[in-house]
Amino acid sequence: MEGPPKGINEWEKASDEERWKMLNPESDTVKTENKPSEPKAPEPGSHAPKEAEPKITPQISPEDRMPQIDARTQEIAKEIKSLDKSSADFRQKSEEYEFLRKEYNELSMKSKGAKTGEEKSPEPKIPAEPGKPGKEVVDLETIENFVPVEDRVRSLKENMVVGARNKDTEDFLNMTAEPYERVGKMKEDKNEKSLLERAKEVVSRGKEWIQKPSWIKERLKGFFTGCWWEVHQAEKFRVGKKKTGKELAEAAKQLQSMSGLLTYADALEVHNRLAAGGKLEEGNTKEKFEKMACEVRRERNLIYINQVLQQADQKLQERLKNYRDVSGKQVQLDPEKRRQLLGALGQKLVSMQDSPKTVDVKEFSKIIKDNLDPKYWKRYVYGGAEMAVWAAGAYWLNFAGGSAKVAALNAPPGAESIAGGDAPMKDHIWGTVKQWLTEHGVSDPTDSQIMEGAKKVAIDNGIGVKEWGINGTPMDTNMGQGYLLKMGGLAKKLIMIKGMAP
Amino acid sequence: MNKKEKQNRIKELTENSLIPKEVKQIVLKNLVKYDEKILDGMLESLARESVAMDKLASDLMRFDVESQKRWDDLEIEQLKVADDFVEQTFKDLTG
Repeated sequence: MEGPPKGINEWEKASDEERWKMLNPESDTVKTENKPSEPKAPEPGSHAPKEAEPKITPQISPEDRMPQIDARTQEIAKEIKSLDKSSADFRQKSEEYEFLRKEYNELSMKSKGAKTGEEKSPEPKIPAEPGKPGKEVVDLETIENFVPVEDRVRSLKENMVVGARNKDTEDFLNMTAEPYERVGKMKEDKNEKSLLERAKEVVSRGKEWIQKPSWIKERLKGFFTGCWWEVHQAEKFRVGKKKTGKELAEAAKQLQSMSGLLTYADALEVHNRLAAGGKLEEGNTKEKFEKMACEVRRERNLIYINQVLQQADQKLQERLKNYRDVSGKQVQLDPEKRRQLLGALGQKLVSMQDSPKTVDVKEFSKIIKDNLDPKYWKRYVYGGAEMAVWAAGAYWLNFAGGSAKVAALNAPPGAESIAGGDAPMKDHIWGTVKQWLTEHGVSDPTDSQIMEGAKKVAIDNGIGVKEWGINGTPMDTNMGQGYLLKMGGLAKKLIMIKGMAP
Repeated sequence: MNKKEKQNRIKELTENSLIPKEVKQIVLKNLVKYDEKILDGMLESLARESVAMDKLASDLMRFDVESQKRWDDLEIEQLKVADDFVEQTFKDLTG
């Protein structure tokens, strides 16, 4: 059967007036005064000639028309999801949707009126918002306010104020019991940047940090000895919310007291634990890492959850306000029940934090573990400590003599062999020296570099190498695997060997 | 690089180093007394420390960006859950 929308294209191109005509071919006598008269629709049972049949649409019963509208609105609901809210298409489809919805509701009322004495079969009404089931009466404004979820997230985040933080989940849940008094105190920051802008900013800042090593070093200056992490987070707060200096100081203070900070002592503890074969995912270290990895984001998310709850509550109240039950009575939600429901939703939303939290802790632990790995630490990060040994060693030599004692006093555990130490021989001196050089910053040593180092090691260890004219015992050909080679002399010669690189 | 240049470079690197303040003071105070061999050792040590810190900084920055993405995704999921909650509750209450 031919329906009023003769085809989606024709329907969509038509103006409202034309659509009205298409839908109500007999009701346009006034509106079509200036148009050529068209033959009226034939009376039921009459034998009008074929060519006199209405060209646009025959009148159809509400029962036939309603499923058509239903199908079309569902189609629109699907289409509208992918459209930009500000686009002309969105507007057009919203209008069409609203038009059809009103018509449907009218037809539904007529249909009910016609069924006098018949058993009422409630027809489902078309929801106010495309794609959402529902029964309430809606207006065009509701459709216009249909916003994709991503935009709503942005909007919610824009209303978040960093300073309004919750101590913990319990506090947060208590807060839901006081209908948003605390949230109401939050100021709106209209100048807040959008999520996308902030994300771009973070990425570009990240690039900037990486591209400017000297600046990185400055930022990391206090990582072990001070509170780099705190400064880092506080900086993000500042950029994110344009806080005043006082607020920033307060935020930093809060972070310092609430979030775990990796201090020099912590770093040493981590290092010692790793050196002893321990794991980071245990005890205090685990807690500390959790705080460092995601405390700030978790707290921001709690504030966000609060906003979401507030919105959900308002939405539910509005919908209930517009709803009347069969007896025409408004449905009321008991305040206690309302708190209970929102509390349950809040708990669910909080429990969803577990997923990113777990990944954050795992990733953060890995970074720290990799960067504080005893071998890596000994090789690189103890550079500063080694320098201290050099410096203090020189100082010691000036006043007491003997740098070995100083090294033991100043260097953290694991760093004793930084300026030399022993290396077990693997295969032969050549290979052992090559590996040692690779591990000490000579990424791809040349033959002459290895030769220089190997000769030094052979001489220092009293090993005879016939090919190189070096006398000693044992001969290199008689040495067992794992023979401990003293590498102190080679360490001292490292700079010179590095300088031999082409 | 002559001795003076080495001393200047060490000064600069020491200021940015993570070593304790007291040690820094000793280094800077005695810098002119150290012979070239010690200066070479210091330069190398500080350079290694610098490389390690650069790596740590880039790792942390990468973590920062990735972590932000995880929490942003969570927010979208949470909003969807809240939407479903409203729908379901409305349905339950209105029969």
